[in-house]
Amino acid sequence: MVNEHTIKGILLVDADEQPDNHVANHHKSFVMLTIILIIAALICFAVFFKSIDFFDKI
Amino acid sequence: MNTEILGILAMYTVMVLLAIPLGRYIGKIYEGQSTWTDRILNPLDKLFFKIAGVRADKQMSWKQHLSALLTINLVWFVFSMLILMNMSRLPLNPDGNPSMPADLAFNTTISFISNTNLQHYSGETGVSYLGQLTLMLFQFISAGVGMAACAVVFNVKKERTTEKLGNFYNYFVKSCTRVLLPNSIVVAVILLFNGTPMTFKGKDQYISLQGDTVNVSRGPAAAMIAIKQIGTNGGGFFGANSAVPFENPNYFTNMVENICIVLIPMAMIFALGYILKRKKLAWVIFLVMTLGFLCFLLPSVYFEMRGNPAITHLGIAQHTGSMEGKEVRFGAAASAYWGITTTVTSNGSVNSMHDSFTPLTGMFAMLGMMVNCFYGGVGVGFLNFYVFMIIAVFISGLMVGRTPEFLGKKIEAKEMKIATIIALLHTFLILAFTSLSSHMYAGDPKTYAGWLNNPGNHGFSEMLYEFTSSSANNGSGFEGLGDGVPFWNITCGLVMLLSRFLPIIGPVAIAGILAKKKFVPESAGTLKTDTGTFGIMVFAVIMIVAALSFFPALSLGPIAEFFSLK
Repeated sequence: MVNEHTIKGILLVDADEQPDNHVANHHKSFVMLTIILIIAALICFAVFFKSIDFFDKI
Repeated sequence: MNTEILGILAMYTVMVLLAIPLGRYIGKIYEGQSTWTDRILNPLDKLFFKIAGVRADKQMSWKQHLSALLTINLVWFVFSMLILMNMSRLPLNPDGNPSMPADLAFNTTISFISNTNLQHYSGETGVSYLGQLTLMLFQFISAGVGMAACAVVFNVKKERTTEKLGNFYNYFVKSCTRVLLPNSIVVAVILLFNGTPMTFKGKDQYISLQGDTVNVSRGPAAAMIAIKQIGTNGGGFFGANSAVPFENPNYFTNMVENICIVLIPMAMIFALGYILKRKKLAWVIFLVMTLGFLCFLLPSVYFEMRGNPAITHLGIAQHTGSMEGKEVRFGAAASAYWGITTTVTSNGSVNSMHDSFTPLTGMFAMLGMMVNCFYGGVGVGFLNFYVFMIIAVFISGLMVGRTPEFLGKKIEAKEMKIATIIALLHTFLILAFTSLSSHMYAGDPKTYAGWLNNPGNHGFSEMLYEFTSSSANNGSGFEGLGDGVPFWNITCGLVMLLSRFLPIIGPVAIAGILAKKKFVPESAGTLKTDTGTFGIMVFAVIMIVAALSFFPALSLGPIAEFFSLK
């Protein structure tokens, strides 16, 4: 049976745990996205450097 | 109405009158001749070279030029990401503005190193003063990079066979210190005396007539606005760009800023004539560009001054033209003029909201970016035009049975392949990414509902405009688009990056390959490239390529919207 007290308890537990998880997940995805985007830009620059020789030999 | 037209004529006349001597001055700088600025700025140049450990007299091949260009941009990319993602922890942040998330920092960094200045943030709340100063630095650097690349091509076009094409760092530093910096100082002082803020103090407060306390953003705006216009950058200090009185206080500053938008791109053409000692060729290029510019400008001014047909149908008089999204102090004509000058060049600053233009004016603004070579950006505008000249030389040579030669060098399959790849890359990036976004929106309109306020033809125009602006390194926006989300930040960032450096590498490669070829003096069999006939040929090539590439997309957007208003 779920009474008001239980609901409050669940909410309190969630309220205690959720922000930490949320912050951790957010931080993780933030770092992941940063790394992915920097790698994407580096790949683009690698393509540009390669394209110099490509255009020379085309 | 006559006053508005006279205002436009005055702006254009002053622009040409200033561009001719400035072109001669730029030509002297790239030729290594002495100028009146040497005494003041030589020590500054030497200081930069000493700090960087650069030997400015060392000659470079075209490949070394491009390697240097790409290397410094890669370094600036990493530097900018670090600053923008850590602004809240760094100094010069009196308003406590937050750091940028990764996708927005990615977009903003590429936007500013590519001379695009597409802004998916608002300057007042999205960037600290340190961030603004970093972006301002990139406004100098990106413009200087474009001019340096153009200087290499100018140098190559001289009548000789060589692999020694000057020094990239020398061209780059001199473009910044001799051209961009002095012009920016003059413009910044004009803006300052007309009321544009230049301070490091945080937000100011005042109590309105209603008794509310209002926070007013300010900062080192005058300096940033000067280089934003001089360097065809376009990125404003404030969110509403040059439509906000702090960036563009009155009609006089509007004229000054508008002249600055086209000044250096136009001067680069005259610099070409000075360096090559071929003034007639420079005038042919200038006239072709001006013809294209007028093809977009005249109908735009007409449509904006005529008013919006939808409002006319409501029985509302529009004596001042279509004024939705425009500043009363500038009027419909000056807003349309700015709209076209900012899009034919790769500037992208706005003094009115392009989303509110009548449909065909919006189309002409897009066409200016799709063509991207009628004046174009500082340096890169000529590089784009150069690609079309190569194509035109080849086609017209085949048509009339003459040797396809350009300035004494034979155009062969290799140069044509590069020119074609570069000409089609711009089209491909715009259409492919617009297709992708349209497919995503049409497939799941509920999920992507935040993207578009108007899901019809106008909504399609907004998406097409965004990618056109990104690919043209323009940076203006239709602004009805909800573009501050990861999808738009990342895709536009990639488009800006690809469309910045490949179109620089291609023309410099063509020029470098041509420079190594044997110089062939002009003969009776040579196709003349400094004639009106050749100018018309180049114009036709540009327009045909643009029409074939973009007409279907424009039909779905602004053209369909135009007929729906009838």
